[in-house]
Amino acid sequence: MSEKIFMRLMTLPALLVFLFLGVYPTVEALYNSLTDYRLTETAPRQFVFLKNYIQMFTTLRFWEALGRTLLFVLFSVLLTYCIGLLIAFVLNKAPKLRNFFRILFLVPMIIAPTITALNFKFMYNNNFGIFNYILNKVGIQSIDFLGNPDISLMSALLVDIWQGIPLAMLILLAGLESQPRSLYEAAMLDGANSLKCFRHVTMPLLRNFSVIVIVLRTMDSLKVYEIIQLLTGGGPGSSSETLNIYISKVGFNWFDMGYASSLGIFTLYFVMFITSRIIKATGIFGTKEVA
Amino acid sequence: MKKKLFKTIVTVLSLTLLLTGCGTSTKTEQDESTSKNLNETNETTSKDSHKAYEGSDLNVLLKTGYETEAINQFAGDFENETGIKLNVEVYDEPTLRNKFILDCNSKLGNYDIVATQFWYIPEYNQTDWLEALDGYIANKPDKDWNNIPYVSDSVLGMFKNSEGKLYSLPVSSTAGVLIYRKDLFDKHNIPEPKTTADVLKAAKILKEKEPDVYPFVGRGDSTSGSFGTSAGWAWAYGARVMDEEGKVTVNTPEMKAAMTDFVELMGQYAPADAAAMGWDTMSEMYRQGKAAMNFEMSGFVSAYSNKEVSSVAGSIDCSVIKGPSGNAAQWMYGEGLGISSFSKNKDSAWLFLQWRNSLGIAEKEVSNDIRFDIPDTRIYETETYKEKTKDIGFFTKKLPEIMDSIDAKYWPATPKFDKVAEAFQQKISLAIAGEITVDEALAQAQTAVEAVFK
Repeated sequence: MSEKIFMRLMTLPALLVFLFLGVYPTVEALYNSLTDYRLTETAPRQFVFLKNYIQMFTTLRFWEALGRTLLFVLFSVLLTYCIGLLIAFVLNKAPKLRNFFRILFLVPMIIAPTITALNFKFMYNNNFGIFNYILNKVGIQSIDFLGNPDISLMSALLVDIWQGIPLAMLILLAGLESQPRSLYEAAMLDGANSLKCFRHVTMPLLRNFSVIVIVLRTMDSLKVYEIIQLLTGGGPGSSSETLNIYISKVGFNWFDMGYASSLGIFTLYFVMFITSRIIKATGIFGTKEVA
Repeated sequence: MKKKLFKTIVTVLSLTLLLTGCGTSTKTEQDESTSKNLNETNETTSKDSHKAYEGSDLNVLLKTGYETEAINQFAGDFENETGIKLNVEVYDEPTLRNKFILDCNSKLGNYDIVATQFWYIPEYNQTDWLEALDGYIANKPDKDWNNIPYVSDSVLGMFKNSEGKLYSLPVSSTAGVLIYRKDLFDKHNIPEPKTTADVLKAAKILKEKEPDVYPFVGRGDSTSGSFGTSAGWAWAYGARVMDEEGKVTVNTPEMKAAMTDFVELMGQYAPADAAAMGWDTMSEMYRQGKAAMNFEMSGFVSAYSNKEVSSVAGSIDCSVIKGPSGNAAQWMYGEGLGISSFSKNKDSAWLFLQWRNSLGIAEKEVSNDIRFDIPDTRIYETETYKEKTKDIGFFTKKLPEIMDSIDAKYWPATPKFDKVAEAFQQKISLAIAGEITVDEALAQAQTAVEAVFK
């Protein structure tokens, strides 16, 4: 057997897994999205061409969910990155505490999102939640974290940020630790203060690490489901309903698989588009666009 | 070396495929061997006949909750008595529904028995996924275990289709009641609330005189799980989401009157986060003694009366309340057990259903403090029940009246229940949160529910 054939055969198991778990479901979903497939109706599925996509783009609820998703991702990535960077910076300056806090800050990351959401649901509770208890103790009126449509999504966002910070912190801390001291010493000699060092030395050196954090957090935030579902169920009304919650309702509450598939296909390409734009714009994998 | 590695991989893959194939064929043979002749019509009367399906398996799909506890505790009795092995899977309600629907779509018949919520009966009926039980009741009743003659028509009605065919045996049933703090009502000389107007009046008094306690608490979140509260309250005013012909009747004067009062109760007399409250947070508040009144399922009375988990145990009472239309406010719930149409073990499944609902098991459940909301009316006369429920005598005394108040007419019996309930409840939830007015909520809900059927 030639080397070439053997090598190709060795890739076969991975290829089969990819075909069955990656390609086949996507093709099936694409086909379903062009039909009126409903799991709770016995009538055979009919080909409806783009009807589900037309329904999607003409449904206000879809656009509202998409808008909330974008808002959620934007704030989640931004705040996770900033807070993660701040913590990483502080830990980098305190080497004695670094290992202890590095482990401590990992706790949110290792707790399952379901457990986190259920705990936060009770902590957010307006009447016996610990957050409002503390607020009341310091003379601040209770905040209706989950029952107020204006802030329910933000309440879920805080939980996602809390879970996302450790990953950002770990990656950025690794980046900070790998920076050579000589560059800082040279900058200091040239008269740069701490702020200038941060802006002109630290941040450019952290660039690749920052891009990894942004890409990973963007994908994570786009996937958030359990936290919102368990905290608010998308409510009150549909005030915290993101695209994932909407898809889940259409697919697994109403079993309208045709429409749910069209939403899923849209989301897939939407996530791919955002991620590829970030990767291309930053050139993290050597793909930076030449201006 | 490479050839050896390649050979090893091929051997492992072949063995895996072979074993998988063997596994499948073994299961099929087992299914066939356990599938008995279902066409024989004979009345099962003796204990020996319980052994008719000895050696077979039954796959049971159940919902988490106290209804399942009896099966966990007494499944061994059934297995010993019949020789049938039970394979029980327990999931939360949405997962259970997903599993059953996927199993039915694939027509595999992996599950013989499934727990059913009454609101999904039209959906299951539309798809013929559940076996009609009328033939079994007529032709194969088990003398020791059959309890159908002792279950009220209103409870059985929850599990029937429009033609009157029964699709599940009711395991539990509850009606709507107002649970109230008798100690607070007595302290302020407030009479027992009998009407929706009494509830509002009492809420106003309690708000003034008991500032540390919320006068009212109930479900107000935007999920279909809270639909029962608002729609049940509306029935007291003669309002319902859909009429008998299936026409959407959300935006009516009766519904407006009902929701104006309900939103007032939830908006002014309930906690600020009432629009986010599901059964869990709402009941927790009541158990902690932070609310005076709770409109809920009657099943919650026994939970609130349990001294181990409730600080209001011994201080509560309950009442069936009526509205301007003379109808009782509803919070109907019913859980049953049905037989999958794709089951290959329908006769043994029918035997299990009867055993599960038998008086003997009901008595054991009561004796072990598992639950008291049992549809079999004979249970109320047993010494075990009387002894075990003496602490909630106020409740058991009213139980016949409570159960008689069940009126399934208000419930939207449609296969699209989940969508309808959510479309309605989302708008009511926003009205409770003060985001929109009741008029706006009803106008929007009317459009949203109509859109479900377009």
